[in-house]
Amino acid sequence: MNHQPFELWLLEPDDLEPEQRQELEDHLKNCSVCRQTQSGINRLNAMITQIEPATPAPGFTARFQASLEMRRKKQHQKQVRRALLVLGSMLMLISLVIFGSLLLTGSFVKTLGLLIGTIANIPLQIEGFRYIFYFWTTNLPDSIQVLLSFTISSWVFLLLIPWILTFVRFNQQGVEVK
Amino acid sequence: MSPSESEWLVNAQKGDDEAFANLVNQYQTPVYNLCYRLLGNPQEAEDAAQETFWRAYQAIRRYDRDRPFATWLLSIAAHYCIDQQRKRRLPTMEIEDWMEEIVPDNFPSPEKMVGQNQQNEVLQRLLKKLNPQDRAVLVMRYWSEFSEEEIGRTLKMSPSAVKSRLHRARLKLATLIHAEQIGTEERIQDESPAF
Repeated sequence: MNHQPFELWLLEPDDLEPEQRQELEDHLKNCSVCRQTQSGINRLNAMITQIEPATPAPGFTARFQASLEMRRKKQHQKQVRRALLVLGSMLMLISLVIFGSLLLTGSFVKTLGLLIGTIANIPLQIEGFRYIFYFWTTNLPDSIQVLLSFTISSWVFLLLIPWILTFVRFNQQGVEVK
Repeated sequence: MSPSESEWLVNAQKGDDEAFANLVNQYQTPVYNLCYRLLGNPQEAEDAAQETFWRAYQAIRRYDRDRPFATWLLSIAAHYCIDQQRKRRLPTMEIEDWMEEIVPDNFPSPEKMVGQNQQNEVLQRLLKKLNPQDRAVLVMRYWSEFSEEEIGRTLKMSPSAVKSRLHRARLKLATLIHAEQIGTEERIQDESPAF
């Protein structure tokens, strides 16, 4: 026997027209399957209205507040780890690109030699730079020296302060996505 | 939405933890109830409800105040619970439930069928036999009293899909309840001293 639309009507009896209601009653007299469905629906409705919503154990909000600090810390640690990983990967990638391009343009021995030579020359280059700086600063007039040191230190401060602030904020609060 | 609630929302979006705690207090029961009905275990429901509020806390700045907060919050809870169930990669019916179906002796006794706790147990066991999406639709309709449109917005489906899922879920539960009743009656007859 076809149980449609009677099954649907059993689910929404309040929406039925009087004729539909009569038709449903007639069908129920002859159909045991729909009577069983009706009995199940009635029992389900009774169960749903009788059962109260499940409630959490007392102190749910306090537990959430207590876990908040811990979760925040974990999130910040995760962000710092991710940032370090990205930074490290970028450095690795840049190094690989430089090393790879050096390898492609010359032989491995030459590249290695160039690398060792560059590293070994660093102290000499620093010494040379120090000499040039000393030469210029001693030969410049006092007023220019003061102006130059003021300009350089201002730039250093201007760049350093936001960098430090960003670093501190990143460590303490993490990165917030807005 | 009450005036104090909209105030809490505004303050929570500005980063006020106390205001957010008030929202947690206000919505703990609907969120926990949804998680409990979807996951079927008090401890898992507690963890899921806590995770829901943490996710809401992280995303509160992105919350659009023109949308009902309950819909937004329960949407987070429902998606989290449905994902959890998918991750388990296990059938929604647990071994004990299979056993209950196989072994007729495990049908609840008539005494057990009486009282709210027992009814709760029965309904919870039968809910597990529905698929997670159908279960979510049913719980939102009857316990959270959401309209079909609200459920659709929450679970990202059309109102007609919600309606059809709701019908399917109710019919399946009705059939299961009837089968359980028959089983119980047969058990009573089998245990009768006359036999």
